[in-house]
Amino acid sequence: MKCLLCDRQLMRDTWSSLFTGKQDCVCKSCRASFNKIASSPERRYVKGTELEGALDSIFCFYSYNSSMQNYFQRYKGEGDHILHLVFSKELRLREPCVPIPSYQDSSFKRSFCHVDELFCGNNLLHLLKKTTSIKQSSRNLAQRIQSSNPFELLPGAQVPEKIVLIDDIFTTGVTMNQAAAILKKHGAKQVHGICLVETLEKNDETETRKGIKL
Amino acid sequence: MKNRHYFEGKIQPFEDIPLSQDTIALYLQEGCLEQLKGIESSRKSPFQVTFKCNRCLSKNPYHFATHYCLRCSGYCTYCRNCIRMGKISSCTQLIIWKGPRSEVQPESSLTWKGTLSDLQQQALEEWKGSIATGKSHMIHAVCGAGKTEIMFGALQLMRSRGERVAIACPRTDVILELAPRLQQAFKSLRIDVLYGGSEKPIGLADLTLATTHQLFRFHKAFNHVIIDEADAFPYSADATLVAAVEKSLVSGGFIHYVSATPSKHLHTDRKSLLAKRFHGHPLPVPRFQKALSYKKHLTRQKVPPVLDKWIAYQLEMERPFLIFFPTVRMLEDFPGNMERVHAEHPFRKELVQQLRDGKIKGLCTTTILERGITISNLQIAVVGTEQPIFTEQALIQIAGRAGRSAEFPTGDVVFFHNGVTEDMRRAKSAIERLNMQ
Repeated sequence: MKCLLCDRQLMRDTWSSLFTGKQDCVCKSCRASFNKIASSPERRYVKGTELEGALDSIFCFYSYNSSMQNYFQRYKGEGDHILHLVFSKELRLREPCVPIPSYQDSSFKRSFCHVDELFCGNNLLHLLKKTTSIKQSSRNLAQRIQSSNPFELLPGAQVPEKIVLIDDIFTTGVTMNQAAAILKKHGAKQVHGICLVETLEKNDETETRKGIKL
Repeated sequence: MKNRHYFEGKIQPFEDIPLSQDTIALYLQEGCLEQLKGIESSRKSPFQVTFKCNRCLSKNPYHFATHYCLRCSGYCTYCRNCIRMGKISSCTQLIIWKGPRSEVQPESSLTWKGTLSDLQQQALEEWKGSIATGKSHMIHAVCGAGKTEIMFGALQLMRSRGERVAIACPRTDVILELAPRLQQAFKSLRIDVLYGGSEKPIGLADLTLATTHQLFRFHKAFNHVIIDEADAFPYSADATLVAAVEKSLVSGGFIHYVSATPSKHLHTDRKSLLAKRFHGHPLPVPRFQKALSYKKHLTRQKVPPVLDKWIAYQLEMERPFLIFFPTVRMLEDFPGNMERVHAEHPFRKELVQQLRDGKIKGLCTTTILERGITISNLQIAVVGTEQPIFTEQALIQIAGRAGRSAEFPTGDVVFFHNGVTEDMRRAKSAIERLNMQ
């Protein structure tokens, strides 16, 4: 086995890994380069808008640093699908979850749907559809908040009362709240969000956020 | 055909070509182009499937992964070895040129006006003889012998014979250092410089300067490929790179090597040896210096006393110096606020330039700076020389950083160690042997 991220030879298989099947697919130094925070970030951006309160809670596993940027560059940008295994063990949830969809064309271009694959092994409920191709990362904060809701409910979808929304990167929370608002409009009572990564909040709110360039 | 320059000498995915699909389909029908599957799979036994990437020619099962592909609605295998240049999967179509090759205008356009030393001239004549008689050649020249200048002469001959040439090197640093010198020497030529993250030019240039990885993009493009520093990592360790170089050659093309430390597995028909530097002074011979408990000192955040003394001496003499470390970890943990560079350092080039300009006095580094650096009056120290990363070749290259200018032809090269290894001994005796010749 080689580390998926740095191609270094991993530790030899041990007896315990042989029987339990527990072997990490990345080496220790690569694993340590990710910054685990397990936090519930608070975002003030959606306050005062109609999106306020759409999302009941949010939980993120990691903070966004240079190795995470590198990871997403390779996984999303280059389309290295096998890298979804790096975090798949942590991203096991008990409840069925609703992935934030990406625009059909962009996942077609990438040849896989990155959020679905990241949370593979979970019970995924596809309820939503994205109708525009504009990426959030190309907009600044003001544009994000003013943007009209890009999500639609898939025809014939049954919306349960309690929903877990999942996404890869949490920046301003606008996307998550927009999706949650749609779901609440169609009968959901509680919507909780889970993201792999949160990008750290800048203190200056008026500053235009460039977001994550991928 | 007017769009030939989009295709000739390249192997590229269908989507990357900036022409309409109908045009490409037409060319395919005419037989000028050929379509290849991105990944070829073959079933050896009912349980074993082997894959081969048609761009990087890798067959290593570790380089392949399979997933459900939304594009072709089926399971697709892709190659991870060359994914940095764009994903190649089973449903990708690679396009190669099948039509006639365009003629290269024979011309000599060397604008370099320097003179070669007698030894350089002799090596160049030998190389020219090899080119004329159709043989591959190796220039084994000590560090600082003036290999690049010899290359100019050979390039000119290849150009005047109407042949396409590429210069490849495993290291981006060497490419970046070589590019301006080459453009200076051939002012009128179009020279494409290709490395990870560079632009992708359309068509084949008069001269292509590329990292060995970038040769994955070519298919039967060059008559000659000159590989500079062929013993450097990763070319020495990656069989797919060797295959890539061979793929980029036309049938009957030649691979020439230029190196200071050729390894045994590089085979050419003829060789020439340059045992003297261009200024005629002998190579600096490294000296061994015991630093038995350097690890203990470093873990306690102390500079080993012998090294401390050495640095203090260099600072007093106001000479620029480089300290090599075996690992990035040790480099980062080294006490003090000296500037340090490693492979992932964003401002590597700038820091080296600052050292050259005398803005910083010394630099800590890993083996990344072992080759391709010329700084006047540079002094060298290696910490932990007994570690396996410092091979014979690496140590010869490191020692070759010292005394490169005619103004300061000597320099101090110290190997701090806690036990002399075979590689250290061989490196030293190799340098001494070259000095004897």
